[in-house]
Amino acid sequence: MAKFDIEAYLDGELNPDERAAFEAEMDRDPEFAQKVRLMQQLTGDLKVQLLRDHVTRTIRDGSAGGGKKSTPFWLGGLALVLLFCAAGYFFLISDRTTPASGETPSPQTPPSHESPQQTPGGHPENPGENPILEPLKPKIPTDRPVAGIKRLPDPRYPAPNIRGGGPQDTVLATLLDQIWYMDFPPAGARFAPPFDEAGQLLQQRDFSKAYLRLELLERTKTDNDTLRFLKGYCLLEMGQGGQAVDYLEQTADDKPTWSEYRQWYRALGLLLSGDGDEAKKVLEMIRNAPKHHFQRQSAKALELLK
Amino acid sequence: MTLRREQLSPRGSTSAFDNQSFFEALGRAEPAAIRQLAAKIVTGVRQMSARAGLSPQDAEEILNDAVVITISNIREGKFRFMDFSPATYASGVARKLIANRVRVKKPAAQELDNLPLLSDMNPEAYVQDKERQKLVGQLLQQLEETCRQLIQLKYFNTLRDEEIIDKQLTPFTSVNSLKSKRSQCLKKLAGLALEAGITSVI
Repeated sequence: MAKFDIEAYLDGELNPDERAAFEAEMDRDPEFAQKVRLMQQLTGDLKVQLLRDHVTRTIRDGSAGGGKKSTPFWLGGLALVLLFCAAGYFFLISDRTTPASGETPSPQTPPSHESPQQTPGGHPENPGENPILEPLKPKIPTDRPVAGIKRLPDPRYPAPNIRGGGPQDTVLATLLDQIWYMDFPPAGARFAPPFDEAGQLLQQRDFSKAYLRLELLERTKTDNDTLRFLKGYCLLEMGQGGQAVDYLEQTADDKPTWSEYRQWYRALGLLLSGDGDEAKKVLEMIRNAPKHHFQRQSAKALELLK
Repeated sequence: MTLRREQLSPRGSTSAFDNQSFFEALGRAEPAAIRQLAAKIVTGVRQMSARAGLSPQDAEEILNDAVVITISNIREGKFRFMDFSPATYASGVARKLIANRVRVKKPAAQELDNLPLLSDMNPEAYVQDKERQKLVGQLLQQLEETCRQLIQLKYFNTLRDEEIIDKQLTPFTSVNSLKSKRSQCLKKLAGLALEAGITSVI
């Protein structure tokens, strides 16, 4: 049987003559054919299973396979500095929010913040769970009073996950969760065909599907403000701040109501993409604009950004 | 995703990859790319899973499976760059897996729409295959270290035999000796699979 190299056949390495002879042998000898099929199945299974093991380890551990490449020493130093900054930030926050001696804690403070079941790196009920699925966020109370601002209810939905997972990202994620006021659609807006379907999907928060619809539309309608606005919003909800800002910036300001939403979305997109300075400028502009739909939200964001 | 590369602004490029290099890195199963893909789709997977009434554990498994299928299909040429972004593709895979899970758990109760772009993917077959593949993975652990290494280099790292020899990744100094040993290893694995009754599904 050494005459026939099953591995070479399965790898497609036989020349046409060898391949023909191999397949003729398979036709002639059912037992051999069965052996080939077994090997094909086995190697196929191995490929997927080895990949699955690798993916599971990588996602679960967050550091698997990083391997043998050594981390530059300056990167380690930078991480340390960021860690200290984050620790300092948490210290300040906790200092500002800890009630003075004898003061009664706010009844609105969710007890879960103090839950002893909270385990680092995982969900309270599922210790050790996938760190990407359940990112650890610092304990910043979501109802922290913001000076001078009538208290806003918390956003209905959390902000999308931020890539990275470093201390700075965690702080940003927590901030965004508190200001992710993503009302959609804009008040009074109705999306006529061909945008009605995408608009509906966005309202249902089915962002991946909406994105696909918008992608298809973009192929035929390359210059359309509604498309850019919807895509900007969709990308924002998918955590693509930079790309969202690009689309929103290309949208004309000729619809006053939309314009306010566009500005607010843009500010969030800038924050999401790490452009805090530019975001602050936009937020200040919104806060100072009389009767802006997102005036209070911007004020809250600016206060938190301090 | 059909976003052209020039549409990716510097602001948007907080990740280490542009679309093309991201796609290629996934094909190589680079950990950074895997983590990035997982991070991109995790919110959507969680939301879809929660809407479908699935548990967080289900969501975690679906996330892993979606990443595995996406990478497998990149490697097999079933998913080509410029068709869709890997994240969009992986989200579509996740949606199909969720739909299948819902069908299995709650017959005719909830049905999620399937995405047309993934009409070639059969989630039921994937789930069936998965159990068998896990068993093969366990059998692999019963082989000696050299066998595991040779199989890993070929079927996971997708290295050519000449490359393995040139880089001296194994104690073998010739392609023939390497092939011969790996062939023995695969035969042994096939024997174990036969004993375990795995072949009955073929």
